[in-house]
Amino acid sequence: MNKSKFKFFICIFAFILSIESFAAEINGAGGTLALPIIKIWISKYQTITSDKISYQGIGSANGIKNITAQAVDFAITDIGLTEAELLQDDLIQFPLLAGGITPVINLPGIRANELNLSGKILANIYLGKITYWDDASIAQINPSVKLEHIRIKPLYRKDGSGTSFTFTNYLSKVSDDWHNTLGIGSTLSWPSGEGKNGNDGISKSVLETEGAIGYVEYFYATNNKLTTVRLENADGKFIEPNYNNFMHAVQQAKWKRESFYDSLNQLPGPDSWPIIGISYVLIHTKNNVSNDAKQTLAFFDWIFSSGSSLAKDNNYISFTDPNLVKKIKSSWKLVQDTKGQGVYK
Amino acid sequence: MIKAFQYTHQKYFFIKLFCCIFFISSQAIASPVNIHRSKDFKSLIIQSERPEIVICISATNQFIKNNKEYEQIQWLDTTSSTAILNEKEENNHLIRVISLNADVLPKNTSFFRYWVHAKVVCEQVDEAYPSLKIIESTSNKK
Repeated sequence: MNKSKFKFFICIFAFILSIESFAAEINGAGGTLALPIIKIWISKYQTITSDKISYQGIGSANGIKNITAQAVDFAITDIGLTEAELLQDDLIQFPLLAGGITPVINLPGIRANELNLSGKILANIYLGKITYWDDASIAQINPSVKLEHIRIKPLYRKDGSGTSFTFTNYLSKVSDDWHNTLGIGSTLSWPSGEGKNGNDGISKSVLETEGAIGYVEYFYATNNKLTTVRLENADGKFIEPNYNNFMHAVQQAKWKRESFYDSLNQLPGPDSWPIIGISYVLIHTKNNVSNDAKQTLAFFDWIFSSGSSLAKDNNYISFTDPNLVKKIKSSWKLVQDTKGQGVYK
Repeated sequence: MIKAFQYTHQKYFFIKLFCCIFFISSQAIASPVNIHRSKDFKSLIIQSERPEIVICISATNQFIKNNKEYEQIQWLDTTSSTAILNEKEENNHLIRVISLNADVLPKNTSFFRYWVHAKVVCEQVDEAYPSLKIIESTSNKK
């Protein structure tokens, strides 16, 4: 082989190597609450970068499992982990977005936001204590709604779900019975109803089942044209789910903990929606493949700087407060590669 | 004669085999259900345990290892489904309480030893590692 041919092959080889190192493939997995907006963000982000990002909506609990097993570069979970839990597995956690979780129903003749429900009634429905839609307790807070004698078919998440975690956290706050017998859980032994996978699974089943009630992130409710309800909030006011009402609750978040762990359920205020899910990102602090970790953080950096209007268009709340974003980015300095070097400057 | 010996020998072999199987299976039936025994946080997560209760299970496993009162803990196949987690904010402190059902084997010197039903209560204040107590059920010796 002559010298020029050798140089040519060396150049080709170097070119292939450079493509490999710049076009990282990043994998994430976790909750379905954030799945629609994550897909939108990924699609937009990939118009400005060659990095390939994939995200699988497999439920928050499976997301935690996947990041623990180091099978993904990042996980998104709506089951917030506390500092003690994060330390067990060398993880950092930061909030990515918030979304309103809303009960959805399938009742003939009932329009969206026509029916009033309270937290106690919701708890009693899922406890199996209220079994028909014309129950006296429902009729009492809906004097102008004609309720038919239709059996209530509660639907819950059977996968380990952050939406369930948030919803049961709310039920635990508003119902002593729920608090004492079931508590908060990503999976529970639900006393009544039928289990479905993912926000999508609940949405489809509610659409298909007369008398059904479920709980989903608001995007799924609007996208599937599901019948939402007016829910009694902490101030005793029946309000409808919408972006502004979600915002009234989310604005009260203090983010005072290092883990950013918080609950935004049942917060005061006449317009505060009472069930808010927070999607957190989990990333390992140690032994990351340097380029993958850099590209992962670059993606989230882009979301914090350019993703908020897309989030708002889809009724999600992303975090733009400069102090919060600064605190989040400061936590990224803990992310190290396999040599113990920080990957975020 | 040889045939008779072979027959007797074979018969004894099957009797011995039967006794062995009976002994092993009876031990298996009598043995406690030992899910999650001595598993740490990461193993439990990968085993698909409810993430929100894993810290309490792993803290209890650790607690029992160095405990003067209890020799062993056995988690039940219903531990996960009957676990109750609640949290509240009190005077700016986040308090999480997880209660789990289990059986514990108290340490004692007597010949007869009993597994006792117990409730493990983990309290996590401000996200710290949980402190825990084991409350034995008074009426439930096994």
